[in-house]
Amino acid sequence: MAAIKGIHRNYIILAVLTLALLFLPLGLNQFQVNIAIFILYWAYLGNAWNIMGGYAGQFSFGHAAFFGIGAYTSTVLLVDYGVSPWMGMLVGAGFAAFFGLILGFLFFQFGLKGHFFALGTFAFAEMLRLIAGEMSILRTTIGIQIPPIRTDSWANMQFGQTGTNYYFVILGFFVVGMIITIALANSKLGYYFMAIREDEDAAAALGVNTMVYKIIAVMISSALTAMGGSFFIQFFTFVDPALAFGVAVSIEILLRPIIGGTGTVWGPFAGALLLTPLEEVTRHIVREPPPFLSFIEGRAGVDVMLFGILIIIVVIYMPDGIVGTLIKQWDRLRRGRQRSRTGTEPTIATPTQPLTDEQIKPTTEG
Amino acid sequence: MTLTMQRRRMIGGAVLLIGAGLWFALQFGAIMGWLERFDVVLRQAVVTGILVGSIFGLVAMGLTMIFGVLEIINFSHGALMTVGMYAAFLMYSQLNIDPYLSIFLNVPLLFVIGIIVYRLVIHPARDAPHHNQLLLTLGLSLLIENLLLVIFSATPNSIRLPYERGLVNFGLFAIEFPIRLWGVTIALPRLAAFIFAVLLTGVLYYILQFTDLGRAIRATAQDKDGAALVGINVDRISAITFGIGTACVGAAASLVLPFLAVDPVAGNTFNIASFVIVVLGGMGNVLGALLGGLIIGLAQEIFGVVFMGTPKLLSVFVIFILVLFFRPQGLLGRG
Amino acid sequence: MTTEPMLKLDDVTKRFGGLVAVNSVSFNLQAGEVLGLIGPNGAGKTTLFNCISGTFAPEEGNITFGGEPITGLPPHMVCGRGLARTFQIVKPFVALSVVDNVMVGAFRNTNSTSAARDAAREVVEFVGLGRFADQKAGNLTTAGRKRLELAKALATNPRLLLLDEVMAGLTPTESTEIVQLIRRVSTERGVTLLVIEHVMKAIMALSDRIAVLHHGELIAIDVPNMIASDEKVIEAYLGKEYAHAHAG
Repeated sequence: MAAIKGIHRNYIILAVLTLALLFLPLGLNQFQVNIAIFILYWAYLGNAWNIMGGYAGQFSFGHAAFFGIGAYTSTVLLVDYGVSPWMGMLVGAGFAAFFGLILGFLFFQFGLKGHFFALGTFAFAEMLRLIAGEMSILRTTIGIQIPPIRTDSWANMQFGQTGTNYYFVILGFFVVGMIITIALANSKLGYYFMAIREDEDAAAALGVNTMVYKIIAVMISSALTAMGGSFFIQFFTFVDPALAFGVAVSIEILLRPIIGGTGTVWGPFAGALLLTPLEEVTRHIVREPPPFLSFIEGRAGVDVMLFGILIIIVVIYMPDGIVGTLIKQWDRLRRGRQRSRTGTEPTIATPTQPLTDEQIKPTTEG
Repeated sequence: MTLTMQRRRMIGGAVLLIGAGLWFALQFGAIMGWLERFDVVLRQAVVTGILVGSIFGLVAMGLTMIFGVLEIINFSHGALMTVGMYAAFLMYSQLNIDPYLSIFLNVPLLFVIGIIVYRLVIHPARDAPHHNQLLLTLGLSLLIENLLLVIFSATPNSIRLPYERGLVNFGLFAIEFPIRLWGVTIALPRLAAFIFAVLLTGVLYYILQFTDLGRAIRATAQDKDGAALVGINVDRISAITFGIGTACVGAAASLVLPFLAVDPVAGNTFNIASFVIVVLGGMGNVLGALLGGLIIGLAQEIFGVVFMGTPKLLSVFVIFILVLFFRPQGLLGRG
Repeated sequence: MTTEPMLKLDDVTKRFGGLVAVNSVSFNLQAGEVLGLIGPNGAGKTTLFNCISGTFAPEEGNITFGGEPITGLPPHMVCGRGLARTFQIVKPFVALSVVDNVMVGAFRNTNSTSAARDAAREVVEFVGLGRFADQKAGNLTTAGRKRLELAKALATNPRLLLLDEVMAGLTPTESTEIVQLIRRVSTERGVTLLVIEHVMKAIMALSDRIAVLHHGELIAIDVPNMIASDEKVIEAYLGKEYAHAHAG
């Protein structure tokens, strides 16, 4: 049946994609590998956001909160206590999940929905940013620098020499994230998430404990996001409150799923595929603009400007994102084919005569 | 409640506010004397808080009106204020127009910009779900901020009014600025901003309560469909409301230019503060916005004194979270 | 020999501020029964449903389902006990397909996606939406959405199903079909039914007994024939003059 094929189809696509991605670095130079790293990195974070924002419908404008918790936790553990980031990442995920639990419980208990929920998450992220700037253990606003190393250290997730190792790490993250998303989309958890997104009251009437499931969504999303934060610091080797908790982070995280399509399996990846190269191209143009655009040479902000325009265009003309819109068109094509098969427009009953007593009486006695 | 009863309530509220303001002004000396028992720094914080709070209130009034009629939280409100600040700056630096005069140019300019933004961006997305609309205005703010960044670069610009220190002649009387009373320093630009802000708030309030346009706006805010049924062009009112809301930040922009530096992100603090104020005062509630503005202004300054070194902005977020949890309808309820 | 009623309401009262929406309502519902609930608009029928299904908690009174108290339980727990409901204004999961919609209900009884899907497809066929199984719920007509609403609730495998004005907004022919469907739910699936309806002929024919609510009070509960000639019922619907005319 189409549905079963659907599950397997996504896994098959993922398997093929993973294979291709494994061999990709062979044909690319370091610069291009870095772009690939960023594509996978944002796709991974986008997937994490998507679980809560796209599937469960709890739109978060402050995912930087979880990202930053992960980033700082693993960094402090590494720099101050020599704990491997692989372990630190898990601890960070635990903290983030706990924070998500508290935040989710508070927000949902007080009935925050829609834009109140979004603004509330935004406020929390900003609060964390300001508080982090005051905490000495986090080196306040100065930030923490991970001491650079010249060699490669898998134990410390730090590769001073071979940049492509970072690529394989993030590829691993990405694949795990995709597996989780695909599995979720076809599981009871995923269906309950989507039911909550569509209509909470109806979901509750069908036996869904909406409070519990919403919190689960937040916790999964926050844990995954935090791990992405840990990776980022290992790659970038520096963290400060703005990099960890800044609005820019929250926006960039949700940008890919929005443009690619929320609530879809491949949306965040599609969004990352589009946006990250776009960012690079823009940056390149700003550095060396063609003659008719010479006035933007060296100017900062052109890439974000484009993001802003893209968001506006997507919200107005493609609210389901790229993947979402494609899925809708596919559905419409299928319905068209079905229509021509049955020969009539699908409806239920066409009224011709009013009800008579005969029609209402039971057809069998007793 | 009949319309006359509601009007009575509104007038009553306005009278109360004006009365309280007058009483406060008259008792200023006594209050300052009482405050003398406290640290002069705290006193300064209270005064600065009220002065600044009036501007917050003006900005928030615009935002709350937009929310009342269009039901969207306009995340680009702050960015539009930055536009106004740059406009006022240019008018001063290039055309030598004093900001307290150019305000009369800035307000219509921002009004028109608001209408354009509404037509191009807001109106096409009116049927989108709420979080998408929030995203839309977010995208808009990114666009505006970075457009300004590209055009003007990140270097802050500021102006100093030549007459802000020393004797200012008002014809019948002259005042030495900055004013020093009871240990508190009041600078000319801040006082002027306060006075203008209060006046403009009054004008806006008058328009809303006593003109046909204002009635139409309030009607649309209360019930879009009902308003349409009685012949109000909801689309036109929405555009005008968005224009007025943007004009508010245009006015505020001119008023803060003399004492705030302008860079592409100058409007950010006002952005965040204004949507907290809107929620605090009650979404769509214009008096609530004013009250909320004063509260936030005071809270920020007092917080800054009590918790020296900690960013003042934190207080705004704490208040925000508290309001979201314990009184999401705001202090004065929805307008 | 009396069997334990499936649903037992004892003096259930629900107030909204000063307004008493449901006033000391008591009745029993036997397993396998079809009980109709009628009454003029504003009589408190949907409020009573909401009390039973857990959307509201009654101020006073007890509701017992299958021998166990469910008063004040939240909706998802009430459903978990085997008591499902439909909504008067249907609430489909618009972006999901018909089957996916029903699967949400089916998951109440299983954790396996394929089991839920099989169960859902069976229910979808039963309500007659087989042709539209893979279409988005948002594409259905009103009649289709009513069937979907029923299917979702049925998929939870309830012992008792509360149907709230299923026929509202349907044409007469569509109503006939729904009535037959509802009857099959009772006879073929053995589900006990509590049905709010305004279409008199339908409810009269469908129900084993009919309860009449007026101003939040239960003014009559009897077999359909007796209800039709009950003076209080006629008075509630048509006013005193008609009641007297009928009696006299």
